[in-house]
Amino acid sequence: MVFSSHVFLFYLLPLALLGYYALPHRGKHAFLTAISYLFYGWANPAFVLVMATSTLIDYAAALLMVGRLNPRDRRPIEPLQPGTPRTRPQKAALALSVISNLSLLGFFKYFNFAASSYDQLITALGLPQLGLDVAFRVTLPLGISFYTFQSMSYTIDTYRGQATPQHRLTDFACYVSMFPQLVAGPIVRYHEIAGQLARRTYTIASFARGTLFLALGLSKKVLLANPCGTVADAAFSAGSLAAFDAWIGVIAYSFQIYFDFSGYSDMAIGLGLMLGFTFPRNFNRPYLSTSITEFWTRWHMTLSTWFRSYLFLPLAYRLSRLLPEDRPLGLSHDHVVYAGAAVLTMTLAGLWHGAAWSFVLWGLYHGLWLVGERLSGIHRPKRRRSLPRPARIATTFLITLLGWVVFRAESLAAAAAYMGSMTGLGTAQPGAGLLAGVWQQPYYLGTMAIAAVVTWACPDTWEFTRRITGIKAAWSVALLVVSLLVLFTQAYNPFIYFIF
Amino acid sequence: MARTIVSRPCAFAVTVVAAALILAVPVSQTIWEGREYRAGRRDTAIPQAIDARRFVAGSAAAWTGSGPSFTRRLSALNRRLKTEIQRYEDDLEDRSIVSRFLLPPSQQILSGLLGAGNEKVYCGRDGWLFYRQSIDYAMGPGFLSPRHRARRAEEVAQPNPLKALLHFHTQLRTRGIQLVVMPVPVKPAAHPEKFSRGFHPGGEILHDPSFDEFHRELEQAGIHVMVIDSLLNRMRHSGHETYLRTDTHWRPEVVEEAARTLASYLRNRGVLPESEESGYTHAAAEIINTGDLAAMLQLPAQHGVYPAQAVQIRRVMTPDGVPWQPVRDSQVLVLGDSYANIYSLEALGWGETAGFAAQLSYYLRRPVDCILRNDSGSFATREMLRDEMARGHDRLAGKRVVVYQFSARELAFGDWKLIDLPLVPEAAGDLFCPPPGSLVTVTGTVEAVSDVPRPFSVPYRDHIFAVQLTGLQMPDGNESLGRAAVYLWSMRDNALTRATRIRLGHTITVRLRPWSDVSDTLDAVNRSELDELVLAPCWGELPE
Repeated sequence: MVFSSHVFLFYLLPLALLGYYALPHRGKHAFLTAISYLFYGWANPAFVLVMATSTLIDYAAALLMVGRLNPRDRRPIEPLQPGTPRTRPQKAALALSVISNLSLLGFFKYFNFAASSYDQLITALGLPQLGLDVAFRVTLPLGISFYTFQSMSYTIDTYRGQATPQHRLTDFACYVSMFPQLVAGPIVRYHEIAGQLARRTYTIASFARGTLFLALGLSKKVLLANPCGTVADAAFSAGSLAAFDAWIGVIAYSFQIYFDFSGYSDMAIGLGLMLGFTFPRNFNRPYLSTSITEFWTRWHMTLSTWFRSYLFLPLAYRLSRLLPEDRPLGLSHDHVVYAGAAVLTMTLAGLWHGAAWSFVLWGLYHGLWLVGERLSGIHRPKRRRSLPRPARIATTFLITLLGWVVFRAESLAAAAAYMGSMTGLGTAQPGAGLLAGVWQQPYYLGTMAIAAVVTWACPDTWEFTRRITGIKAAWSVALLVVSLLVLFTQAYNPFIYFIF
Repeated sequence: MARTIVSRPCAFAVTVVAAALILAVPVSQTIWEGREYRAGRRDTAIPQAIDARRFVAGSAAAWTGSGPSFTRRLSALNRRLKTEIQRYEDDLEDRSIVSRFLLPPSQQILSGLLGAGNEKVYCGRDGWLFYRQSIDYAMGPGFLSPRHRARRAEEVAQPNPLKALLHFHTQLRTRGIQLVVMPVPVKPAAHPEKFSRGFHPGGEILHDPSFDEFHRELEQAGIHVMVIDSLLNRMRHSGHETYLRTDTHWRPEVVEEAARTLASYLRNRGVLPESEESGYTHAAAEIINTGDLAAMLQLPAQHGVYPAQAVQIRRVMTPDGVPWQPVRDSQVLVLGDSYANIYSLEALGWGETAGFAAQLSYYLRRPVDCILRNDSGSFATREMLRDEMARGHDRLAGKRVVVYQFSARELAFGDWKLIDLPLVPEAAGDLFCPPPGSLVTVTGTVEAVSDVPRPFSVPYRDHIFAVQLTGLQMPDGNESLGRAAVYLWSMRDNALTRATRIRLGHTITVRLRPWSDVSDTLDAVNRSELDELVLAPCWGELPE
């Protein structure tokens, strides 16, 4: 189900809020879980089985780690001691959780990609008789990348002694399936929310702030992301374009993906606040970044944190112990460790976004920029001052734009062709000029101009709603009204991150 | 998250206003549905939002009707639930009274003032409108390019038009029939200057990068490709508009010119024997209508943003002075989509008997047979031809030429399935169908229902869907008639009919007549089918 749909906004949301507040605390989690499973199964009822499987395995694995699998044992559970050695069953339980989650993710998300890549490779090697030629295609369950990561964070946190396992299955199922952030984040790590699952406070101030988050997130999606998406879709589905039109197309996409995803995150955070939960911030005006290093501290912050905690740091630690202490390639030990860990982490982060070589390349591209900035020292604010701040922002935005071309194009060849159009190489086909007829309409041109103003000159939702004045409240409600009116004219508007 | 700073009255006001805005929709809907029920215009007092009967009936039917295997049952249940969820959500939106009330004025501002259009329509210049897929086609990579093929391979099993047309040609050639393929250019290719300032009014029409290759391959295989680019260029250079302003289709003068050019080609090539003067005449008529694209925008009734357009059509009349009709045993068969249906099918609103088939008949001076269906030109008419033949009506008997017309955008976005034409009719099975010319009233239980499009989401205003009935009986319950497949109106002039409320498991009463009684007039209307081919369908009407 989509937040910006008629059935969610006008039916499921009121039902969820009314039912939630009508129930006592103990019933709230079971009710929220039921609503979340309904929300999740709406696109494909069979997918709830996948989520339920992942939930049950991680629930059992965490209890196994602390030796409390007996459901009749009601004594309070103590967390594991951080830094102490783990027993074999504890290691096995962690392995069970990680392997099963990665297997689910691997099968549902990467099977088609792996099979077709293998076939392409075998054909390229002139051995087509060894091809798999698999007839069936695996359907990707919505949001599987998000909830498997969330669920894994629970067992890893438990293993590290950073979290106490949940005794109640409903509480844990509620954490994994919580509908506001289930299919597109923010990725909430277990230890960030464990306390709130036990007790939370409900205030009218939080509820009102949640309402503003919801209104502003919906506005970002309906009023900015969708129109920009129309221009971007037209540009990226076209043949060879004129250079200027190609640039307009990728700028439109950069606005679309930002407002689509940050809009979704705002709505998720808002819904969480309305239900008494505080989710972590996911965006902090990323296009104001002055380096790619900074960009990754402002864009999809919860994913960056997840990868940093569970992949980059363990990887860097391992590498630092494996690599010799002398200066390989004339670089410092730290630089080599950072380069190896950053490139691998970002490449995997790219692959997390989608099962295609273009996503792998996008991750690698960002990883190499991170390494380049670290080696040149650009990541340090002092070293960056040689250029004025607007120029640094513009440069970073330009680097990000080139990355978005690879991210958005349907294949590497299409990305190369699109970049060819942007650089003026090749000839625009006769129909290419029609794109101008799309973006030059006042609606699309105006939307892109407003998107630019909101991106670079307005506070983000997190800051805007910190102090709610009457004027801010009136603006937000007015935007909600306009968004609902425009929503009636838009038939279908899925979120980009649903497919990841 | 830092503490939120807000005054209590402000927080309270925000919460109340937002809650009121959101609750206004379900509350007003429930009140309206209650009033409709009391007025007898709804058949249940249960609000649509909580009416779960369709899920229960659909799930039960899927579970029991999919064999003994547990996994098959589960899979069938899941498929059915997905379908019912989609229908439920569509119904909720389509029947929303608030949406119906607010959408037209919102659209007037967005499209009338700002040029937004919607998912299907782009706003052009000077009051012109364009079908979005046509723009995508005109801008897109060549339809035979590896990039386009890779993209399409994920959407349909057979996206290659060359393969399908060669397959069709081979089957026709075995019966000595010449295939003529006629892709009609899309509107933005003919009038790009009405969409983007970068084009000049007198310029050449836009060409798909793959079209020359397509043309060459077909001609080499012995298929004539009727290209009307030069005709359109000639008319454009002389300052004429060749397409309707707020409609997807070509103007009547272009239809006539295209028919005249094709007739001249067929005569000159000696494909058809010389014919006597047919005596067909032209009768001029003026039609004033608003196009299908303007209708898809769902503007208010008296919007004035995209005014109706007047065109002069020339209707084809027989020597007896009656309007032209297709003749089944003629030597020419036209398979066509809405480009052939316009000025011919009354439901499109642009007049009758002045369409492409009628004009071709006029210029060939001989009768013409036709199978026409709006939309899906890549396969719909070939499928209809196959179904006709499977039912025992050999529409290819005595034919010398098949003219296969479709919109050029189908080359890029069509489903070019390979369709085998049966040589012998299939067994009719045990389906009940009244004898020709008769009308019977029966009751039966709904066993299957075909898909219904959402109003304004498709480029046609009328639609027919299929319902399979079981346990068929005469109303007195005395005679058991078995099963029947029934076609019913699902959409008229972009409004869903009462029949679309039929759900699996419902017992309904319906008046039936054989489909053959009405097929001449209703075959051209878009239709969705049941999963299996129906060899003896009926036409149904629900009693008032």
